[in-house]
Amino acid sequence: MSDAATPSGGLYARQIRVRRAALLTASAALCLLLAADLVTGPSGMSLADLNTALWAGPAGEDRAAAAILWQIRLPQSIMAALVGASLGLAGLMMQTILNNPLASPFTLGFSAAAGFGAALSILVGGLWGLPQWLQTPISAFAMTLAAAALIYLIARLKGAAPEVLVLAGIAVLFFFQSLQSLVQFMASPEVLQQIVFWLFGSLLKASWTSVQVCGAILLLCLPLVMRDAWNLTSLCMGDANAASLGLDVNRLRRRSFLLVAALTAGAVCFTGTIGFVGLIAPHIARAAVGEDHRFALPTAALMGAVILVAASVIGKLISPGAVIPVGIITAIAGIPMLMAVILSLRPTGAR
Amino acid sequence: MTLSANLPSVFKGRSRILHPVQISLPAGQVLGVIGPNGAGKSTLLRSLAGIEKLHAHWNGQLLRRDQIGYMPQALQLNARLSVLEAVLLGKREGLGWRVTAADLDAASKVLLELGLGHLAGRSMDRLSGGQQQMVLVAQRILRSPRLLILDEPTSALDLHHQLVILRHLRAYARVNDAVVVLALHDLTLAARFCDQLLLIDRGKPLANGDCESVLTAGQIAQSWEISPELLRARDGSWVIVPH
Repeated sequence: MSDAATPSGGLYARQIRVRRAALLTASAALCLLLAADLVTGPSGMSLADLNTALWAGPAGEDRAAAAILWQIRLPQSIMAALVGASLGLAGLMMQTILNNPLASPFTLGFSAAAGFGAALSILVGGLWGLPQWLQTPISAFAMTLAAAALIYLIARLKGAAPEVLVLAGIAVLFFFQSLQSLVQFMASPEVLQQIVFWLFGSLLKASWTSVQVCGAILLLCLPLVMRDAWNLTSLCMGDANAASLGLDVNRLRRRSFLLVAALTAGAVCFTGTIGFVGLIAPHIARAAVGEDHRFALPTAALMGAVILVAASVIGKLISPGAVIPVGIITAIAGIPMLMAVILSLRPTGAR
Repeated sequence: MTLSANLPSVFKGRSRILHPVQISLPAGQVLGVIGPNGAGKSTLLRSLAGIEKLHAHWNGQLLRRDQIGYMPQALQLNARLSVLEAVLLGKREGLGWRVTAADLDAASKVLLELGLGHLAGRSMDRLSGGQQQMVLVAQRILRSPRLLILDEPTSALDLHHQLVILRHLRAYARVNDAVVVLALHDLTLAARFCDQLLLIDRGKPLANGDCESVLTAGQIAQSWEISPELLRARDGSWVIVPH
């Protein structure tokens, strides 16, 4: 395949090689950052201690070291990668199906819905005998899916054109935002503090359970997303053109939209809303590998993970002894990358 | 081998924007759909392309969607895809996870035939409107459809490329025993490259047949509200000069 007889064939093979290299670079960067994330933290463990604890396993003799590494740092690092990947992937799908570079997984109000679900759960406290740490994510997850169902219903009735989806999304966004404000208004100062902390979006809430749930959703959605890689690529050529190539544009939009909802719900229900990753990871991916979604989708996922893990490292380095919520840091970690992308863009508009 | 289609009325709200139209054409021919702005040309092409419901028959058998290639009217695209990638998408349904050498060869062959070889690596969002239009035509041809329908394929093209595209489309019909249906505004081009013409006005088919019978001075004057001058070119085809 690599050395086709025609000049275009050789050109295409070269393009593919560049894209593979981009994917490998992003993977390598992610591995390095994950290692960096594991060795930084407020406890100030030495590298040697970490190494011992890593090989000793979760049941190692040094209980403190084992707990720090296996119960705190590892789940947090892996969660950062999983949440970043889910949001990056969901962000690219959203930008493609809405044909809008400003779209993100949160454009259609999913974050507000999750926030309301979490706030409500924190306000009413333990129900059905569930512990709070489990009840809040379940409530946030359910509320996100409820918001998605609402938009999906409208898209079924009125067609899934970008305008319809965005307008329905804005309605859902404001609806859940005011419900969330209502809950905050009614809450006592202590509860309010808890709610605000949840809304910040922080990896401190990560645990092996959250890793399993978020990872399972990502693993389940990934093959379904990749199956539509060519269809999503066709959509980049415009609706009318994609439809004339025999693509059912509305069905593709609805299908992708449900996957975005699942990925976003899985990502935010444990950690709270971590914005920005889903907005800029797709831009970096497109700049690196173009809009062939066979490559753009995995690159967006990898870049999302890279940004969030980098944010986690920075959050731990800024103030020794404390961990600044990653939701606050993502913009700080992501802005330089976004700036680089904007500066590398060629001028359009005047054509 | 014959293409035939009975297109039903099309309504927009309560008003009928297209009356029933019958189309019948032997394989290897080019049909030009002409008419003033808003006559219903695009509506007719959409209906024939079977976007909502399939109507076109080949030897009495209903054509499948993948046997029909349809290009809507050109619009500015800002996809960050190379020209080669864009053309490859013409085979969307047939593309596997890996793009095969055969797919690549077919795509680059179409590009070369249309004189677009030098653009293969360029990004779609850096092309002019006319170049994009050529790429979209190439995308359709890669599908090798039995019925190829193009809505104003020359609207953004210079004189040279108008000839390149229309010659290629006519050759495509002849070589592949396919039928090509074009909406055209330029009556001189229509007279020169189409075997048959279908004139529609205000949603109604007014005349159907070879160029001689459709492009009469009276007919043109009535539909376009101009007084045309009909001249003969060197090769014997009609030149329509509007006054």
